[in-house]
Amino acid sequence: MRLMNAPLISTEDLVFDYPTKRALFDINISIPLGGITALVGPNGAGKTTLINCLVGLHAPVDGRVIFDSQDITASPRAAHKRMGYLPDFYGLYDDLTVRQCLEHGAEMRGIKRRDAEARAATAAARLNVADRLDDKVGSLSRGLTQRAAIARTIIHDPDFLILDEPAAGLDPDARQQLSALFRGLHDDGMTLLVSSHILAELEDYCSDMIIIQGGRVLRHDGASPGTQPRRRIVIELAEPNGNLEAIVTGAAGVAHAEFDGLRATAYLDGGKIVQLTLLKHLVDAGLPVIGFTEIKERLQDTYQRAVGGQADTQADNKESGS
Amino acid sequence: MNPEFRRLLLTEFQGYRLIALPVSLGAIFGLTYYLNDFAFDSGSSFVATAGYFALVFIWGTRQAADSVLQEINHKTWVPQRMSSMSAWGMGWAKLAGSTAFTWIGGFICLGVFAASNTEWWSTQRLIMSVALYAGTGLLAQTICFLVSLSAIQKRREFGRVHVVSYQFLGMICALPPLYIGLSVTGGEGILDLITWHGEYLSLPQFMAIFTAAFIGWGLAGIWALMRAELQEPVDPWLWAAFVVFAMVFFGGLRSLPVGPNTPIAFYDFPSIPTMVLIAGVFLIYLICVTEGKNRIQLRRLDGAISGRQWRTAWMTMPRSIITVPLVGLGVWIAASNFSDYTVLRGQDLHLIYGATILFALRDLGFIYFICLGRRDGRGEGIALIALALLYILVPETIGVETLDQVIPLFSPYGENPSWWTVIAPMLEIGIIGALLARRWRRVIRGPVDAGDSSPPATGNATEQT
Repeated sequence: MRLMNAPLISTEDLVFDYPTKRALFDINISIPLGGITALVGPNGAGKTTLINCLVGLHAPVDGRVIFDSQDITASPRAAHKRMGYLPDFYGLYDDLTVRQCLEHGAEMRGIKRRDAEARAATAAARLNVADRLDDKVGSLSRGLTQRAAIARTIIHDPDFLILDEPAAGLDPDARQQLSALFRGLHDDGMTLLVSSHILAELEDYCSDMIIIQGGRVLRHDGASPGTQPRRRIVIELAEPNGNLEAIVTGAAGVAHAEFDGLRATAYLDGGKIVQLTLLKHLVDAGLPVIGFTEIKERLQDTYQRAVGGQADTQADNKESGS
Repeated sequence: MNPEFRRLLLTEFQGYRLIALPVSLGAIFGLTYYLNDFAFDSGSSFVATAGYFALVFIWGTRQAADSVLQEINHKTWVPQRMSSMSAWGMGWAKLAGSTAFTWIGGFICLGVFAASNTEWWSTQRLIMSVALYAGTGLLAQTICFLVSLSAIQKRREFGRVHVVSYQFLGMICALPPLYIGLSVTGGEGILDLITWHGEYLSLPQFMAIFTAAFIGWGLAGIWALMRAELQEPVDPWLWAAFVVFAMVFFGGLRSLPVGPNTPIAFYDFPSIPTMVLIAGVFLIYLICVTEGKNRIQLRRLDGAISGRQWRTAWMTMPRSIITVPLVGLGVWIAASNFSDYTVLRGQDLHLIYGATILFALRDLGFIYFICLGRRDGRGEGIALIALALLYILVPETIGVETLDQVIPLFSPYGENPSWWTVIAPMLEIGIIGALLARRWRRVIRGPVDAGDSSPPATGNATEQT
């Protein structure tokens, strides 16, 4: 039995070049089984190139991609059977009906003709396009086309679903439906990798995040216990207490803390249990606690800090270089 | 049924087209029938031939050339590459599916063509004509599809001009058997004999063998290129086998078509080793120009050789490099076994054979040298123009025909071949080799630029293992 959080797919020192430039530099990431991982980065960061390497459509110059203990670079087609990949364009045939596209997609994935019809109906129902099965793809709205494309991508029940900019061009309603769909697929046991610019939506459903810029991984959160982001708890007291610093820093699970008058910010290694233990520790120590709030960092902030930090580093390097 | 074939049938056989094609052809042939006093004769035969040509050779080749390019342009190719289809299943389905509609019309035309000639032609001649027409149509479409598959190994953006040029290449390859087919239709060439591997064959018989053989190799090529596109390893042995086949096939041509008006020189020349040489050297240039030369592949090759990973090195080796020794070996075997054909006007041709292969090797190094120095993908075109100048304009300009000792520097052919004939190209190979090695160290082993990680505009994103 595989453990949740064990990596379904990982890379080892992955390097990819286009003929005249290096696009990926020693990428080491791991995407946990059963999670939804966000892949974020600015335009030209290498997200699509990384995805193409992960699904075995690009052969790397160096390094490996390991999918469920198998080296994808050695036999990408075996891995394709267990993957679904929706590129940033949908890749459906406008001249065909949704039903014909789905049945064609099923058969192209090795599903027998007699089963393809049922699979198409199931996938269409799952994506709420069952009432559009006999419409030509070319006549559908962007949101419906996208749903039909996702239906075709998951028609063979892949273990790993990769979506490149799936929310691009969708209206707010369609984006909300997309979030719900991803959560549904996740609940069904699928592992997802979603590349997107729209960080607010990723926040709704992503358990992990990889930030990439200039072909390098800037930040990789949540893939393993060591890389879990620390939780930030803000403690407020009703009146000053001289023992505040000693009590908070002495509590189990507090990695470090910052103090500002009646407020203390504690950074915790661990989950809800550690949070509960800290609260109990503060109350037992007799502190007049009137506020105990977890401050969740928004993806946007994390992203900005990572990308901004990288920009600062580059600027510093330039300055010191000059 | 193959799902990709079914999809293409669904796309190509849209309702109105199914009706429009037979109605249009019926109207044309009906009118011809009426104008010819209610008879099928030479007039309807001509119209049927023209209709077949337009449908199968013009429309069909375009469909074949555009089949995969359209998928790439419409961005439907990535899901296809992620599918479970075998390379062979994908290849034949695309070729047959994209051209099926044109074949429906083509077969109607062939039927009218046969009906128009039944009264006057023998059954054998009729069958031969129809078979040659059908075969050459299939050959042209196969080559068009093969060329477009070859093109997508090098680039990922295609315009109309690319489709037309790939279509044109396919049609050129099918011209020889088509010409013979038309000759048979005109009643010419039926009695002309050709000697092939000691057998006397009529021209139509020979062309039937030629067409069948090259359709077979075309399909094998489609299979191999589709494997590469589907990220499956492609062993260079298939190409090597084709090179050997081509040398044996064309080496067997003892003489060009011999008819009552054939010039006497054609009875003696080209000889067996010369035909082997021509076929082999043509393939060296062909594969050199068409194979991918991007730096990633070459870096992979360099890494494999440095790491002594011989299997990877063999799989990533440019096919042109493999072709040179094969051609050398083939010419040597032919020249050794057919020595009576290696003397022309008293001159020993062995040195010229050797020099020709050395010049091909020099040119191969030169093309790679230019390609490694350019990032815009135009290296091959520039190198070919430079070589054309080197072979034609420069000797003409400096008047080397008056200087026997200078000729071997520019051409493998001389009036009085001597050891200098082979030493001269060897010296040039040494110079080109040194320049290439220097550029190789800088470009292939040197540091790679960093920067924007988007694919380059030329879309050269697919790297084969």
